[in-house]
Amino acid sequence: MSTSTASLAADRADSTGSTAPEHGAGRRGRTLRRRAGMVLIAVFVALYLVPVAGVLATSLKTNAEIAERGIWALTGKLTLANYLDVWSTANTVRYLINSFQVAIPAVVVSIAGGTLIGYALAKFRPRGGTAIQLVIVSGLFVPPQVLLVPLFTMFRSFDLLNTLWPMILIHSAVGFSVCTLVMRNFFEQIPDSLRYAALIDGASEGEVFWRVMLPLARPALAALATLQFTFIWNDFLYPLVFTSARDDVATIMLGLLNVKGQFTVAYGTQASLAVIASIPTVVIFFVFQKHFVRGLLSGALKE
Amino acid sequence: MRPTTRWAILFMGPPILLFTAIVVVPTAMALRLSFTDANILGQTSQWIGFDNFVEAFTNEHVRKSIRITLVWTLFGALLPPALGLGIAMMLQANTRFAAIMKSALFVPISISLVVVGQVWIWIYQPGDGLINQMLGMVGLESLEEAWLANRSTALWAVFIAWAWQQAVLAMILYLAGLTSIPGELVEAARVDGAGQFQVFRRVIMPLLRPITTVVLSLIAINSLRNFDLVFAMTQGGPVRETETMPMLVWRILFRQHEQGLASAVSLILFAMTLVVIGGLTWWGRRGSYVD
Repeated sequence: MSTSTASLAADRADSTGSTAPEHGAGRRGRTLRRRAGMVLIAVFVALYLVPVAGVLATSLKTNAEIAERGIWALTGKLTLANYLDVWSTANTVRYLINSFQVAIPAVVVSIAGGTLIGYALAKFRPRGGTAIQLVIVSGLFVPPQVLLVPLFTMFRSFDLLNTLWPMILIHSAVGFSVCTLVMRNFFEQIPDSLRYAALIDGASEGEVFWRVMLPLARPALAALATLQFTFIWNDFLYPLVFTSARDDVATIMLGLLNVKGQFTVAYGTQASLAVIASIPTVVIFFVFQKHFVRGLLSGALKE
Repeated sequence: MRPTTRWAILFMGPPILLFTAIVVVPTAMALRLSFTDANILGQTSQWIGFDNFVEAFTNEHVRKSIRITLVWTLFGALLPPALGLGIAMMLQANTRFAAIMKSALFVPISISLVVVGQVWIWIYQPGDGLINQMLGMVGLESLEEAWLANRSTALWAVFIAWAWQQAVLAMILYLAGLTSIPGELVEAARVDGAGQFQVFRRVIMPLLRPITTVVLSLIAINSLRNFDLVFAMTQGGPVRETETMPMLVWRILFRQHEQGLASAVSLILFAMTLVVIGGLTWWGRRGSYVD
């Protein structure tokens, strides 16, 4: 059954390392196969490390040196000059602040809203709940391009173009789809008896939700926070459409794109800005990696 | 009114209002626009029936773009999942590496497609690009190429950069799925005389089917929505060879200023997404209760 497999998979994924099945093949065949496997893994690691290391190395070389010897040259002095340069350009810090000003409220609102809808669908089971769920989850499949023209007209009439509001509002609302899906699945698994017991003890529905259910949901909420933050931080379509006229409201990803356009050959500058732009999501992934897998699986598997 | 209904309205009301304003109403407005000849200059907005859809299916650029998107989705559903599964199985056999590797591999999927695009431009570029330098080192200068500027290689070059990232997504999910398969099941199949390939085909793959459905759904959505990487790497060029449907919608909107046609094409993309996801869901359900 899909449900149990998924949660099992997610649980076991945290403790990789114990359950490699030992097959009964001959010892020599096994070591040979293991060596071949290790070579393949090494190739694979190179495939993934080289591009990442390339950006890091480029960010630490001077533009002059890159121009002379090429991007991928293994020689050269390492320097933090590009970082100091990029950081002291007033707009880099502005871009980062803008990105946080979009991502934090949008992550909070999308998860809060998705949790409320998901909980109501799973526990109050209102009439028409299935239809509501279908509409909200279908949001996952609406290409952003469908929404651009109507939203542009709408934000223009409210005079919100070239502010951060379009991104905050869009990411909040669009995020309800995945958050509702994950949270409804989560609350569906929690037995109703827990809710009834608290209600009999005199708690209101609101208190049951806040004091009993939400604390239980912490792992699911962490998973969603990781997913949503990464998604919103990395997006550049909406900033491109709604804030293209003013550089001081650009998010870091739009800033990165603009820098690329302005200094086509200043590779060192581009690379250091790319590294700065990537730090928040990479850090969050390292901290919450097991939640991320769990979030993806629970969201997509249990319907 | 039942008291729980009142609670339901209290809980769901505000977020549903926001969702309606930002997603549902604009989708309906896009549907209306797709039947008009609206343009960004705002002179006309006449009802023209299905003309935009007829135009979309007869215009060679739109048709080419649909073809590119479909080919991308098809290969996207094959290459990254296969690669991801292969790597996941190797990692599972070498558990010592798995933990370190898993952490290292989170970098490619946590970084933005703008950054991914940037690195791969440097890998592909003529002159000091990584691929050309390596070809030069082994004496194959004749194969050097401006990979992203050449009409016959550009699409595949962008696709490979994309697959590079998506394979990690598949790998991480498959690794989670593989560790959940009980070793005894594989052992039992072997005792019954199953060869390695049979174990893979008859035991492992069926058990991974729910995971496969997730992987394919995520990758299909990402393929169909592919705008970011194309925009960052080629903006649809050279000569529209990498113009995926989202990229085409962008062009129709901001270069040709035809809102009606752009809405029609974006709705065709929406319909394609629903068909693909519907098919995958059906496939996943059909298999999930069968051994």
